[in-house]
Amino acid sequence: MAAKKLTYRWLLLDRFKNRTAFSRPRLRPACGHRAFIGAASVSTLVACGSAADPGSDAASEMTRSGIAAWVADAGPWRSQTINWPRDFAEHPGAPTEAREWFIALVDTDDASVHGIVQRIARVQIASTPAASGSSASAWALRAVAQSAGHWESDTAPKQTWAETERVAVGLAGYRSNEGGATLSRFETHVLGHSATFEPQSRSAHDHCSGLWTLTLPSVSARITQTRCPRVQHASTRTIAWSQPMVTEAIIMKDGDTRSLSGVAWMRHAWGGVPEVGSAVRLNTAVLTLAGLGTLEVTQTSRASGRGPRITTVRPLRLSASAEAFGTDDAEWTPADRSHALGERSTLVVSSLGLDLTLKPMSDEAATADIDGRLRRTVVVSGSHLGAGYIDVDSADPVGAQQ
Amino acid sequence: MSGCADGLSRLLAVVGVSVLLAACGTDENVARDQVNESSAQLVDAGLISASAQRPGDPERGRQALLTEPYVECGLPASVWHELGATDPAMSLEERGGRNAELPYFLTATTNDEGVDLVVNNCLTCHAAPLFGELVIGLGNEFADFTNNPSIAVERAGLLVRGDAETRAWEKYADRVASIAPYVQLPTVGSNPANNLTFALIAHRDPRTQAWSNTPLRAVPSTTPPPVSVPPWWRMRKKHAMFNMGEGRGDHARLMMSASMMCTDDRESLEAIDAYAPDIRAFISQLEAPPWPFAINQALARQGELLFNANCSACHGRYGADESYPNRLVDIDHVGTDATLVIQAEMQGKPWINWLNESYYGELSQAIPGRGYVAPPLDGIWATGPYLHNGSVPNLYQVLDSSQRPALWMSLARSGNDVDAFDREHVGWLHQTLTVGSLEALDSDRHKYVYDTAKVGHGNGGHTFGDHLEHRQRLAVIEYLKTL
Repeated sequence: MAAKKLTYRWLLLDRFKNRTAFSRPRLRPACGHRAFIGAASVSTLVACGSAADPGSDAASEMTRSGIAAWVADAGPWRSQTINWPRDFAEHPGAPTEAREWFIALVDTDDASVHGIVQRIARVQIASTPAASGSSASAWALRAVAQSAGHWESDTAPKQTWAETERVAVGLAGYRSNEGGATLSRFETHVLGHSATFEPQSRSAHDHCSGLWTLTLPSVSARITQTRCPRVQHASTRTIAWSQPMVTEAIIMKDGDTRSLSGVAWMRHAWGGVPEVGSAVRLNTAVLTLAGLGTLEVTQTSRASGRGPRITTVRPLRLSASAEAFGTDDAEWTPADRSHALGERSTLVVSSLGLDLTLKPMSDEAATADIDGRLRRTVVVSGSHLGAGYIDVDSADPVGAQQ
Repeated sequence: MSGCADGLSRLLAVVGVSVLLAACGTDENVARDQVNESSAQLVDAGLISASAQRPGDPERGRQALLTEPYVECGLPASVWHELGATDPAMSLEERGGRNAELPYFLTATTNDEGVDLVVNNCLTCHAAPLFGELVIGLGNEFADFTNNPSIAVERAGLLVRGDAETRAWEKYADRVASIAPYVQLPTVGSNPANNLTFALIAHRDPRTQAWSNTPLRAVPSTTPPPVSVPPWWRMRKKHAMFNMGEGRGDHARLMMSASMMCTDDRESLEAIDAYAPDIRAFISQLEAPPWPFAINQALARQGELLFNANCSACHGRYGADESYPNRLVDIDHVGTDATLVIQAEMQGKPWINWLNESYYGELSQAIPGRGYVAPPLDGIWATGPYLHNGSVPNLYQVLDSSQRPALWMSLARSGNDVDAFDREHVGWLHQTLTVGSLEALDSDRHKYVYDTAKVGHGNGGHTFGDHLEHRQRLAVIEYLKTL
């Protein structure tokens, strides 16, 4: 296909949403069980092992097995040698994690384009000593790059893709203080594909500013983020904030180039992300709708069947409101793991005048990915037209899986 | 944690709240019959006589208030600790043990299954920071009841682990879900205490105190009338509790209705009743915080004369010849928002009967009056916004009804917002809005807007200062600063 350049208004979103204190369900530190957070959750593995002596140059046995698992899951790159950095951290039962999620949802103004959704996720998972006092030592880092998308226009054939790659492991020296954390060291170890970042500042809190490049087998992206005012979230054990960013990106897919610019959102969380039990199921979604913007949709329902099903919808705006909740006069149906990404889903939000029907653009198999989550690109019709990306986080409760 | 069962603000105030009519359907005869069944006879205006109070130890009462789990259900402590890093500034130094790690409005306890819980206490609504200090007894005029409280509680369930924790959390979540439809208000600072009480009554058997997740009797309106939380230090003068003087008899027993959300049997209530008189004794010796800024004493002396001539018949006298009449003022005379009175008259009977048949009614009675009790004005400077529904931003506007804004937004976000305090007119600074400016307001600020056109939010009445001149009003205000 001939390369062509289109400009779209777009939004780049994180996917961590309003869950600074809520992790998606994952197993308690049942060692060796790697379920929700990627095929090789380094943090879980590391956290389960015995700690290496602080300051030791030798990797711990646990870390080695973690690497082995990682490599085993690394597909065509398993044969590569990975130099795991020295492990000089203790590994408490509750790992400390930091995650970044970005979702690029293209809200097209071009009538000839029927919907473009691009998601790029970068996940970091880290294990550190419990945040004792003012310092911590090391983080084991992992980056997962994912690209799932769809574009379709009158002049271009439909394209749908989903790719997920683990692109780096590494280590960051880390020092925390009252106000946050500072990266003192950062290493990445590329596994054949790349996700690099050039921070404008070494401050962990400011590293939203910079240049990203991402390369996957058929998709590459170059993203420049140039501004990042921050909104601190309510105090929890996790340091969390939201950042709107003026962002430009070029995404290349099979020779087709899309140039995008607009406002990006990133939700950032550093700190102890708690494990999740079995009492409540959580579903989440992000939708970008033409003429309206981007919505975070969250739904909880009890495993017991009692109590209310709570659906909240929060429009993301440049004012970067740190309000915990948006409107709750919403109905999202069906919204459980078995149906949420079925042939048809509806979302009604009375206060926002929304009455939407969501239909998947691609079949589920195309977007099955590493961590058991369900996610698909959708086309939206009803009171508003547009494209969206649903990320259903209704992973079965722990109890149901054991 | 908003919307959790909190402390004594959830006291029984057996006044009806509407929407029964709406729930009765469209058949007028049916509606009329049901109203008749619900109608209550209100007592006429006049002086309220004193009732004997059980003695108590104030110091033990303070300890009980701050450490006893009289609200017996809440979030598992593990969940709380996952969610919250308690701001050290919010903790009370005098509380030890597990409570030392909690903010002042929460108390640690352990349930029968050994699950550590974090539960609300009375200070959720009856204490607030003011200019850098926590004032116990000051009504919290910054509490946010604009959200559905079930949202936070249901989501907190994501962090619950194990069967025992799940049972503890789900009991609390069930209770919150039962009251949630009746306690959401449009404006931060407004309190739904009356509706909360009625919603709890609707789910509880008066004799056994057994809880039912489905209502056993009429539920209140889903548009609760707002109330401004009165300061506790008034209790040392008051013969009856609540706006309409409906809380008669033993005050300690009435205060125990704070336990109504979670306490499901008489035995547990009796355990709480063992120290409730101590808490009442502590509350009854609280004094108002002094005005923290300079006072024009000459102007205040002028104001005292004006006050005694125009206000003291209802609000009492202060100083050496202190007196307080405990006067219930007829609603037609005071003219302030009549929603509480009207609804008590039309629908209050089931709730009045419930209280009088219950454990609470053994020592106390619900006897609402046809009007509002003119409160003592000790520490009035700290208690804005004013009138029983918090509809008037400052004292000057209380004394000049023509200056009251119909649509306004408080500019203060906490009691520590000293720069947002209007020292001249006394009250939190506010912005007067119009429909146009309201539409231009960021949506996340709408919850700070007070709209006096809403049911129960009216700012009319109490025109007793309208005849004063500007300087006379300032003089009265200067005097009120001294109380």
